[in-house]
Amino acid sequence: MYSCWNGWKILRRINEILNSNRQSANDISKEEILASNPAELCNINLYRFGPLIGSSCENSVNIYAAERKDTKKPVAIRCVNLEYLKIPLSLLEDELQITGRLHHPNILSFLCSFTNDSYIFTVTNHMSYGSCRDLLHAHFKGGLPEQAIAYILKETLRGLAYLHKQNIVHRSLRGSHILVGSQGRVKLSGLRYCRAIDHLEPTHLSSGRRVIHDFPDVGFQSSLIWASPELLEQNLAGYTVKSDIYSLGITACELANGGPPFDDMPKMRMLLEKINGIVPMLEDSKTVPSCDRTFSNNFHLMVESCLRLDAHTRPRAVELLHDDFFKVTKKRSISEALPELLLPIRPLSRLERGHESDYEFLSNEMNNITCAETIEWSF
Amino acid sequence: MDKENDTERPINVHLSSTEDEQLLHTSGDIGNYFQDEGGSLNFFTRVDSAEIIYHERPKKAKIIGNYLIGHVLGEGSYGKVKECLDTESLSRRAVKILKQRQLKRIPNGVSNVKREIILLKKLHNKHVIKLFDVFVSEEKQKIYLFMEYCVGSLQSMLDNVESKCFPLWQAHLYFVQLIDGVDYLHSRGIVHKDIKPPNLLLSLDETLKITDLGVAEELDMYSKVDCCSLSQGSPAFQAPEIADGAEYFSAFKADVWSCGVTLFNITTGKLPFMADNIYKLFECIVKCEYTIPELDSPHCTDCIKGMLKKDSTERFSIKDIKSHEWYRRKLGRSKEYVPPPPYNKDDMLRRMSVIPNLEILYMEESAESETEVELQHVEDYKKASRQHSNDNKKKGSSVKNFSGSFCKLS
Repeated sequence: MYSCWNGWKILRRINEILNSNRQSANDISKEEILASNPAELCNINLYRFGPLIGSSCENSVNIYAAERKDTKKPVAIRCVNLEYLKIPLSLLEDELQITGRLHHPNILSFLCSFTNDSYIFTVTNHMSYGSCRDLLHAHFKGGLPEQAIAYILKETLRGLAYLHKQNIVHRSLRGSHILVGSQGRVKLSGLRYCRAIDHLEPTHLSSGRRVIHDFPDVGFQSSLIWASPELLEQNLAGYTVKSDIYSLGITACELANGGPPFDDMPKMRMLLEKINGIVPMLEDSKTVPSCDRTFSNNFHLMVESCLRLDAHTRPRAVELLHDDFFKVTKKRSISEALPELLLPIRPLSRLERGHESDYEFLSNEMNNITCAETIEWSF
Repeated sequence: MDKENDTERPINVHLSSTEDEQLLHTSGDIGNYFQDEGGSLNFFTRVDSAEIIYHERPKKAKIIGNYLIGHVLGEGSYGKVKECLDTESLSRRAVKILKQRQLKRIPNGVSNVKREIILLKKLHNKHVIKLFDVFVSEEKQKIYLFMEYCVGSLQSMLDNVESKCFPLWQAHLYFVQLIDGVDYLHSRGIVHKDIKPPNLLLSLDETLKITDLGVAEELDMYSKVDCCSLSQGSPAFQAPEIADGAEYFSAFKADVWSCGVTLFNITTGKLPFMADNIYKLFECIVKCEYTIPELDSPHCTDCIKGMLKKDSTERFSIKDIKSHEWYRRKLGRSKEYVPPPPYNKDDMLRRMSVIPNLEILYMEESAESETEVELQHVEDYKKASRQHSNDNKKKGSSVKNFSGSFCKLS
């Protein structure tokens, strides 16, 4: 996809960003990871690669479970193959830059990122339960227990409130971007489509509010189901951080029903239904008579308030944190309650034997890649 | 599929319009003709034209390639510009529909379009309109250019207000972006040659997009001078050296002149040079006598003067403009504001015009079978457009990727 010269330029650009990130990370040095110099972590031979645990962007981005050879600490490593990247590089640049700036317990931060050959490797903490979507797939096909949802969404909201405080819109909040770790740590990932709005000026047509009009048109197809009507509408009114609250509502439906609403229809029909104000609901005995689950009234009200068509009437993330629905989480701490609620799923704690692999495995893989397009030289 | 092909021929447009409820309005006699397949030609001789013209055509969702087509945004000499929606990414786009028959009537029409497509495909900048897809329908003799959606041109905004000009802060906002865009074009060795308010569009977030590269020229990569000998731009925006008929002129400086006239125009609502006919106009331009109406900003006046210097060597370069006070000093927004013109009075926000079509696609029960046909159609277009993966010589595909089709023309 990229010629040699171009690739070299890209790598240099990425490395510039990474270096600047590293410096800013050193400045803060509050987090335990940052106590050790991240530059030392930027060595591919430090990690033992495990099984593939996820992939995105048409398999041009792969995530492997891995562990540090010296401390045996489990990590996850994301490998982005620049040669076959299916999304614009600017998205990755933005992600690296924005994530480098964010420090919050509910946001998945990068331990370190570095380039090797034509790959960008990003090391993150290993989240042993995987994403919420993984949880649904693995056992909870009909949806997670309501209490588990309350715990997960509350932590998600904390991350979201932090982003919104920084005037950043997440834009692709969804089940697969909420990761659950051991002891009930919940982290928000998928910051690729984040957009900061603090530098924008309020326009006349948005009645003095700061709004975004940008529509993520590349690689965003899979996130469209979670997108708010105002984001999809692409008109002069634009959208604000409230767009994420709508996505949170859809995510709540996804976690409760076992799958997102609108999933069974063409994208254009989904657009029509959202714009026409059709509001998805939690499926339980109150809404679907044949269903034998029953969700609490508070849960219904919370979802309804998130999915309001008029963005201004949706609650803010900080307000939602005090919603009655989350009162159930006050009885027990999340580290105690969530693993119990998620049984029989157990966290993946150690690298499973038989899947062990090394960086060499990857480099073999790289060698196996044949050139898809023959490059012709003409002088 | 047979029915579908029928409607493609212009002669049968009315035939399709008489399906369903329309049939009731025409006399029974006519109705019989439609059952009789051979009789469609007689139809035109026997029906009072008033009856057909005043019936609205039944609305039908139209899909070209993977785009759902919406309302008309504008019309030009070459054809129409319509709003459309990418059915996969759901992003809003605009499609420029060029009729090949009309193109042939315009001098250099076909070659200009070809050049525009080639240039746009390799330009990637915030301030240059993006071209996403090109389809050619040989059957309909049309070229479809799918581009970024914009709310309107600076000209259309100016036409909508009495003063015909922007408040200074707004003019500055657009001018800065124009210069950035032109700077990018020049850095890629491309001279636009037709910079004027109608060719400057605004996106939803008020980003200026330079469009219409039909008469633009790509300079030789290895030549050290920016010599140019031909210009087809609008007369009122042409530089004196072009108006004078100089054999060669500095192309970059000619663009600066047009930017100067544009700035003059959007800040004062007037043109610096005006005359009854093109000869007198060129005479005016060559003399280079103009007066700038009094503006609130001396910097702006100074900048216009620098850009409208008769001698192209004395004229500002893009670099000079970028270091000029008028370019550098940001102006705060005031309450005065010229909004993009609405389609109609109820729609200040420019809502999607494809929504009614979506409703036709999905909401009407009767349309169910039709939808299927349309979607099948999409498949056809898609197959045709994937030129690299498959051979595009597939029988029955009416649309081909641009490059395939034009190779034949050239």
